[in-house]
Amino acid sequence: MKKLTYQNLTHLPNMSRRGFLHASLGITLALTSGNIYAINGGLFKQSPEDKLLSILNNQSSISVGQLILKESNLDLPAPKLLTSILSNLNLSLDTLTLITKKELSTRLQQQTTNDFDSWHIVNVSGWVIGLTEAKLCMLAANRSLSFQ
Amino acid sequence: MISDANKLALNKTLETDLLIIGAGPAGITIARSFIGTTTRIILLESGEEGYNYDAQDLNRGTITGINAIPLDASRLRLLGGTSNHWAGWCRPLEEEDFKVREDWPESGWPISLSDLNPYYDKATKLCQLPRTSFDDLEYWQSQPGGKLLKKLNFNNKRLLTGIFQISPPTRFGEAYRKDLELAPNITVLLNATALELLLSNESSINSSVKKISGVLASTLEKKQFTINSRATVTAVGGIETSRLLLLSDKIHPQGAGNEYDLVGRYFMDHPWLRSISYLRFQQPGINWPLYFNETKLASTRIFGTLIPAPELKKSKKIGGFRIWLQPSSTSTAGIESARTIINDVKQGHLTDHLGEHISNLYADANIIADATYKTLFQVSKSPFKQETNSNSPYLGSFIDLNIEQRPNPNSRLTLDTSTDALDQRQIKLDWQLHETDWRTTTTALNTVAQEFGRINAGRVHIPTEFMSNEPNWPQLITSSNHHMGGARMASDPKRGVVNADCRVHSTDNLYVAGSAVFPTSGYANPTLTIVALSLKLAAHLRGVLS
Repeated sequence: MKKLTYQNLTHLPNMSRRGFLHASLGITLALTSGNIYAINGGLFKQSPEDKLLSILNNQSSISVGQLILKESNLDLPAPKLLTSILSNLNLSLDTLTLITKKELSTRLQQQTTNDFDSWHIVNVSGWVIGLTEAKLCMLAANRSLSFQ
Repeated sequence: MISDANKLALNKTLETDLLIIGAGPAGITIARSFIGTTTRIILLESGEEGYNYDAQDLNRGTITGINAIPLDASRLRLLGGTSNHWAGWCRPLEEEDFKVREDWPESGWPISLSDLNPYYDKATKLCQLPRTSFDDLEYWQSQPGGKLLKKLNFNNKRLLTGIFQISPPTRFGEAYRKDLELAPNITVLLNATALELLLSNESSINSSVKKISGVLASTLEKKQFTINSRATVTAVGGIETSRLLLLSDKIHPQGAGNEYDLVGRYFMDHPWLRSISYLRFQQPGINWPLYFNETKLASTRIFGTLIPAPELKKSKKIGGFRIWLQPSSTSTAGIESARTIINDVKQGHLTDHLGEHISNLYADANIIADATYKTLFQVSKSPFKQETNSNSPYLGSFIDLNIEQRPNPNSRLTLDTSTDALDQRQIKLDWQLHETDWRTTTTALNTVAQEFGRINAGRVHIPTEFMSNEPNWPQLITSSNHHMGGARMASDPKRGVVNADCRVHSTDNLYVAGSAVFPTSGYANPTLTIVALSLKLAAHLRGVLS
């Protein structure tokens, strides 16, 4: 889990007193629940999507994801994507919050190995990638669209 | 003795016990087997000791069907034959290559690997290889320069590592010239092209089993002469064997041994798809010496290739294949993959640098790959971290593919209407592939993508044309100069031209040496098997002629 310190927070640009209080509250809540979560769309959220995507390279996963969305016939509407990925990784929202980034990476790699082993793959412009990593890329692409 | 047919008197008739037509690896191997005996041998060679353009021109022919290397470039007419441009790759056929395959009614040899094994051992020596056991990695690792050789842990129900030994390569003409020259019972006759096989007076064209008296031969100056022999071996390669048999229409109207319209049929090569695919490493700097180069060891060079497990061949109903890696420091996919990508980009299908994005997908790829590999295989070291070399510039690897072609009666050699300088009809090759060959190709590419993905080595790009189940052979496909078939071996005369002893079924004393007799081709380069089969034939002939 990413640790946030007071020093981190004070270095954030244009931090208002109100923002700082929101952030502090968010951290308190996050620590209490074992999660670091959003407060009214505040600055320091780490949603389940963010945590999943933290193990990927941002720009690359978005680029690959955009292509998959364009080319692939994977019938996975955005709302179902997160559930599907978590299911593939044998995680729940709660367990996702508890595992470290390294553990998440290992779990994804293990699942990618399983995906290739069982030929659950996606072909994106000729590149053969694992189904779960493809779904993560789609998630990244969807997220990037939602921020535009 | 080595002599020149130009010095023979016109219409001369020579007598010998064994006539061998063709002084390539097969012919020279058989001739050498008679050194120290009293059997008189004449070894005919169409060319000279060096390259002769006029002799080489006799190799011209026409190709239709699948794109193949021109027939006057893919083989050589000089002492040593095509071994003079041989690359030297050696590996025996696999045990299952000799067996009948469930879905391939044309498959199956009338001999087994165990029949050939003693001759393979001798053939490795003739091909100047130090080791009869090819896949003994521990031995190779124990050799100076072999310490870093490691096999990748593929799922052994899918992919195996097949190790080739690389011959110096042996130029049979140079390497064994002295043996031939000094042998008192051997005469090598240069500048002597066989025109047609001759029927013995003891036989008629209607005889069910015929006797061959020998051959009518000619120099390039059209000085003809005859050689009478007790037994004749054609050892003229996978193209010229069919041509000589078809030209010999005094033995049978459709050509010697062609009672069942089999001569020239089932022509095979190893279709070669060069840089057809690209493996992009998860991290740069990977170095797998066993697979990346011809590794130079103290006594030889070896090369690790990826070959199908028997289980994969059986479950997917495919032929054999051989994949080898050519590491690349370029950041884009291979030549053909790049072409596909460019086409896709033109159609708006692809963002730039997709390969880079694929390889950059994971933020900590090297650590992850290293950890995953160790977990997966329960080992303390992985190839990713252990063998990563900051000096190694490799970002990926081109993937070359050779496949075993399914025997196909429509893949065929026939006589053309055009003639050569000796007024002989030239050969026409119609090289045809079977839909099984497409399945072999796509399965090979998918399996390599699957396995490299599974062990987290990287991701593979497969050109879009190979996504289809319908055969759509790309223009870049070519032959490997491994001409096989045309006089296939079978116990039943209705299924093959020669029997298990390589004797033409319908004759008493005509034999075929070389890859023309292969009923199936396996994935391995044919020269080692050609030499082994020639040694086996020589052993048989020693018995017959004694």
